[in-house]
Amino acid sequence: MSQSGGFGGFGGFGGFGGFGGFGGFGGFGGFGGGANFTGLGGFLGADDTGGYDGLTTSGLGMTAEALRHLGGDTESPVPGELTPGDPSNYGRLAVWVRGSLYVSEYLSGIGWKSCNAGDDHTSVLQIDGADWVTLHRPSAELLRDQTRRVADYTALREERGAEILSQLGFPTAYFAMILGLHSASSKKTFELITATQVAAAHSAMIVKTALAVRRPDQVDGRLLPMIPTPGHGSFPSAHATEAYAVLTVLEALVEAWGGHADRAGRIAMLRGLAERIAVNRTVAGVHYPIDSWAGAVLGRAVGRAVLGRCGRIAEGGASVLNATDVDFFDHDLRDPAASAAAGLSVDTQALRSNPMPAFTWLWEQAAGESEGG
Amino acid sequence: MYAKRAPEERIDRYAGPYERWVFSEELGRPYAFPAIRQPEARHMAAILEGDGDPGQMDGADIRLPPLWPSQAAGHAVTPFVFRNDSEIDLSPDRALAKRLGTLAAPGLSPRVRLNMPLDAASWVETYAPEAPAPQWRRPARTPKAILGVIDDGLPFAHRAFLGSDGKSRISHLWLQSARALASDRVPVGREITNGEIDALRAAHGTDERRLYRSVGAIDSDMPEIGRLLDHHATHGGHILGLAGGNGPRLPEPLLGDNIQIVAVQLPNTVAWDTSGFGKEMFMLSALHYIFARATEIARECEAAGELPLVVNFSYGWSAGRHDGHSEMETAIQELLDRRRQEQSSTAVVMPTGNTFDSAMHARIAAEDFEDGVARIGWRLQPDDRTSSYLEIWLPEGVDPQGWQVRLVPPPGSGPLAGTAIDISADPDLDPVGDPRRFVELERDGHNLGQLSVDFHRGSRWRAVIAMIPTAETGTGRRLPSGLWTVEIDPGQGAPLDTREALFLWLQRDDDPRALGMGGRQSQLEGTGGMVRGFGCLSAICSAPAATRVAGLQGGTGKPASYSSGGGLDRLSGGPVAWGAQPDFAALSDQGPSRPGLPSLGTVSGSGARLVGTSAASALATRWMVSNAASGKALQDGLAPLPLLPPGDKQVLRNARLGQGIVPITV
Repeated sequence: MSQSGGFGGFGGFGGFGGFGGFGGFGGFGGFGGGANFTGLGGFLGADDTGGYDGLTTSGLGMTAEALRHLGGDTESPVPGELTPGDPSNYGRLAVWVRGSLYVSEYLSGIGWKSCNAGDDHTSVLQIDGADWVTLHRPSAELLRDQTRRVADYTALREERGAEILSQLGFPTAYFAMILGLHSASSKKTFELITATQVAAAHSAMIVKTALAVRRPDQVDGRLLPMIPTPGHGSFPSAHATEAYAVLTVLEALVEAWGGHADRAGRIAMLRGLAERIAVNRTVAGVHYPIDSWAGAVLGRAVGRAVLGRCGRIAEGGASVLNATDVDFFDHDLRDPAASAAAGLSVDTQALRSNPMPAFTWLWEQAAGESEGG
Repeated sequence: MYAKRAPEERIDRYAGPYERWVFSEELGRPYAFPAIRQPEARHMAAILEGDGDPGQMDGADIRLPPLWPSQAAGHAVTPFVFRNDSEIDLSPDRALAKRLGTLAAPGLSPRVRLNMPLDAASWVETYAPEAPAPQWRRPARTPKAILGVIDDGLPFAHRAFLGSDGKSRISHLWLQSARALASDRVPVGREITNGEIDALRAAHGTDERRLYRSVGAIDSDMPEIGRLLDHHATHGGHILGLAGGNGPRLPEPLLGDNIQIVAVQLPNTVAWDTSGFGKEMFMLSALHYIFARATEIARECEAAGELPLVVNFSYGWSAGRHDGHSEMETAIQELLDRRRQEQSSTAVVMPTGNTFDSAMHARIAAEDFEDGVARIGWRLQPDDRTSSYLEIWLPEGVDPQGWQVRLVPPPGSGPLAGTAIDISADPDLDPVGDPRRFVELERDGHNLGQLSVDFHRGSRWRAVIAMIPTAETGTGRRLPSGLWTVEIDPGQGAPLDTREALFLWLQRDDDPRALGMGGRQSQLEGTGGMVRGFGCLSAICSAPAATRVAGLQGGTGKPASYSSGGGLDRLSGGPVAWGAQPDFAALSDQGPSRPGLPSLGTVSGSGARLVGTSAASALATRWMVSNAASGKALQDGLAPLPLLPPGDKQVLRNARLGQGIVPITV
């Protein structure tokens, strides 16, 4: 994928570093895969031209003065009006501006609460007034038990190093290659992926902060992670949240496209990828397997909420995770017995988020970018 | 200081120098592999030599693995496992000594070798060796040959091992360290047969990692099987692919449905620890298992007698007798002799080894002695976190009365005690097993090493020097690194005959990354050509009937730089071969700038490259078993080496490449 900007370094700050940048969008970077932004970085300045350089600015001034008289001295014309509130206007906007709209639409229905009952602390993510995800804070003993599993995974560091380092930010490139996406023909699909990742990152940070769980290397120094320990809590994993949110949205998009003859295989690979992105963080030494469980549960909910904002029906019940000392596998997440053993319960009553116009427009655009045959 | 133990708790009365070293807390146990450092050694693997009967051990549950032939008696070396039901409160060396003492009953003088402890969860509750295999199915095509593979991490669900009917060509598989089922036909671990593999593949679709987890082939709670199959590639996957797989990364000939595979996955520590200790039970029982299941397949398929069998065994260690009379070599020879009486197309194929350029072998002839004493340097690297081992072998028939082995430390090592050992029997050690003697190398009362001599298998004297790590390991003991000198002094005894030589080998001290043991390889340093690559063959491949495969570099036709060579003497000026030599060579590097051979990664569709003679051995196995299935002699079509006039050059080349080249290109 090609990129317009060179602000890749920003991604390295990780997570939410860019919130302050809300006021300062502009001038840098692009959206999408290659630069591996995280948090808001995925949208920062995409499509913004910034200012021209000084020489061009000066030249334009001279040219204006030299040519203006050739336009005559009549009154300015009455403009042909844009249609207010019409979705066609979204296509006129710079990507970063739409980014603001997506964030606003997603967050407009997001709420959260913390509950403390004795030693049991929970954090609840609410969407459009309903409790979607409830995560119980893992006990100190459970963290100790999970640390042994993190140690087991260190043997994979050598062979997973390239993946781990290139997945520090949003690992969009990995999803893109499974679906054959291209920056020329899949622009809105990339935008949908980025919007989903940003929604997932916000959600994860809210819950992480409420639960305040120490990272594995803060429990056992022998783990010595191969990447810097991020500046936020361990549980849930934001990488798992983002990966499972993107997976959920892409599964629906691939079905909507309907174009891939090998659709089932690609979806199986997407699921494998989401698991692998999550597990790679355990290999690196910065997450427990239960962080992946919590992240996957949260991410699945975020993905469904995004689909609801897109006007799609993606119903699932409220999830409650009271994690046990298990390893994380995508299959177990889908398997009722295994997920129950991992401490996950899912309510049968379906939840659905409200549709919103920018997301709905984005979905329609992305759905028109069908690939494969 | 080696603490005084009660006579019945002295492991050195019953066992050899390696067991004494690795099971004694004040010697080498703190630096042993995690599997050996377990707090108790209740479930154990061992071998017994001679006509001894393991069943005579008191106070323990004794099991014999599937043997070939199946009767318990009459094996030169009998592998067995036992659960010590007594003394569970004693330290491992004391507890084991008491059990071994019950085997060494009056009038019985067996040699027993203890191996690595077993995970209690791998101990099968109901061992039913005679029960039928419930999920085994008769192959659609009658087998013409059996391929055996013994290795680590075997990706048995990989599509490279499917027949043309989509069903598994792997007939039987023994995961020696898997979590046990309640009942099984193997004493420890788990047996999996073709019908079960087919059912697993059907149940799990393309998700092979989940398949392995479901059947205990990936199990992070069982360290000896662990997460190995989660890795991109394994040694075993690569070797099983080259020897028995079909697919885009694999060479021809295509292996037909008439070749059935029997495979054994060793415990991780056995596969990765290259120091030579504690493996024989696992390796030997793997060979017996493959032989026994080959017989079972022939019977169930109503074949006329035994089927041709080619077993690939891409393992080895460095130090040992190298005369064909070690425990493993004796057992391999007996198995091959017996089976060849029924089916001449029977082979155990092994690599020559990868130590040619590693300075791990020396030959000291009479002319190398100065002032009557032989001296050679042993460089122990700094920052080595594992034990280091040197073996010195005297020629058969030499009377070492008066001989002594001495250690001279690097300068600045401070005053040391126990730097010399006489090569003679210690009368304090009961005459059970081999005559032997032990001395501890000490500084300030702390043990830094163990000097031992033993009359190995009653036929040849050897000295073993075991040293603790040079790195700080938190045990309060550390060996000075640097150039140690080993002196071998006949003293007042008879000097070495001018036609004889002393042989030295170091054990490999690699650092298997998965275990993070931090080993660093020591080297020998000597003058006048004492240190050499010729004679550094793997210490388990010298049985005359074994098939030894060297590594060849593609494009140049030269031996691969690491490929271990057969022994050469310098008697009468020119080189003369001694001991076992490579039988032939197979490709192990594609070219000078393409080291190694491609083969399978762990999951279907992935690939990996492996450098070493292990791959050459697997390639040779593929060719041999394919020949057998076509009704040809195993080595039919061996390509000749380029013609050389008789002379030194030919002798040198043949000691590296043997007598021909396996006709498979990659």
